[in-house]
Amino acid sequence: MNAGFIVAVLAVSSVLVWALTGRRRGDQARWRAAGLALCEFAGLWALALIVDVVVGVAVILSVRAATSFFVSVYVLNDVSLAIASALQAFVLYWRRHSALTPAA
Amino acid sequence: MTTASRVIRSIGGAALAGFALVAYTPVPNLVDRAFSLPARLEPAGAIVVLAAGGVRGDGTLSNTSLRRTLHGIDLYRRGLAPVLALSGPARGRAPAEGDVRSAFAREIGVPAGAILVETTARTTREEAERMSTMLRPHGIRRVLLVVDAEGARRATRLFQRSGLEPLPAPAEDVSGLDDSPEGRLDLARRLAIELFALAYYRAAGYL
Repeated sequence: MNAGFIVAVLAVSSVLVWALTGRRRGDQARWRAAGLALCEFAGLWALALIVDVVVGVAVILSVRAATSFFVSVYVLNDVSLAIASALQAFVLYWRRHSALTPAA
Repeated sequence: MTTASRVIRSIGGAALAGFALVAYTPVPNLVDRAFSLPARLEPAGAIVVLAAGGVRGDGTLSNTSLRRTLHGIDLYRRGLAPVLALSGPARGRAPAEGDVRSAFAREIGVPAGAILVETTARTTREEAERMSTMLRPHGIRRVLLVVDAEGARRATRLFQRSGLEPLPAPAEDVSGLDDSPEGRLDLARRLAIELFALAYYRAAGYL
């Protein structure tokens, strides 16, 4: 029920945005490019999150092995890590594309 | 388009599809049902409540810890075991979780003599070893194991290896029946963490 309602809201708002932004010539190519950009950003986000988790686990296990200090792996179970990795992904995305297009 | 871009976009497409699948379909609920162990609430020598979430900055139990403690107390009150064994170490300046749980259980009527506390174990493996060392001299082998539903499989194996006979008595932090997108995402996160933990314990030879 909840999921269906949220999907319906998202569908309606997406159609509204599509209708309001108009249907100009060449628009289909721009929507396609936007979709690919979304996939690229999501891919960078997933990779950044994986790297963050792997580095976190490696550091924790190293600290445990090398010292008597105990750090729980559960400290990585924190939503801020996912948010911060999205910011990292944005920087990576911007860097990739600023390298391809000349700076203004 | 470079090969790197193609790979990154494919990963992104898969991540977006995975997000939609997890948040907006019952897939996490079905996986949780297949992965979790059903409760076996039978008479035992002790109820073992594993650590979870620790103690908050104000000295009170975290929500997860409180939920498990209450489930353990409920099982005790139902007469399923004469002993309530509470686990949980101290972290930072906070008091030990096991001690705070014990004080809470006594406050709501569990006799002090029925409570055992373990405050040195920091991982599930250490909890299994130390609970075994603490309970077996009392002649206790069969225990009701209070743990989250997703972690029951790993915890049960560890307790079996430590020489105890655990019966899963899961306390669900997130219901496997939750059909809200947020609940499903939380469920998927817990399953991912537990699958990682299971893989790590297998690789390390703990299971």
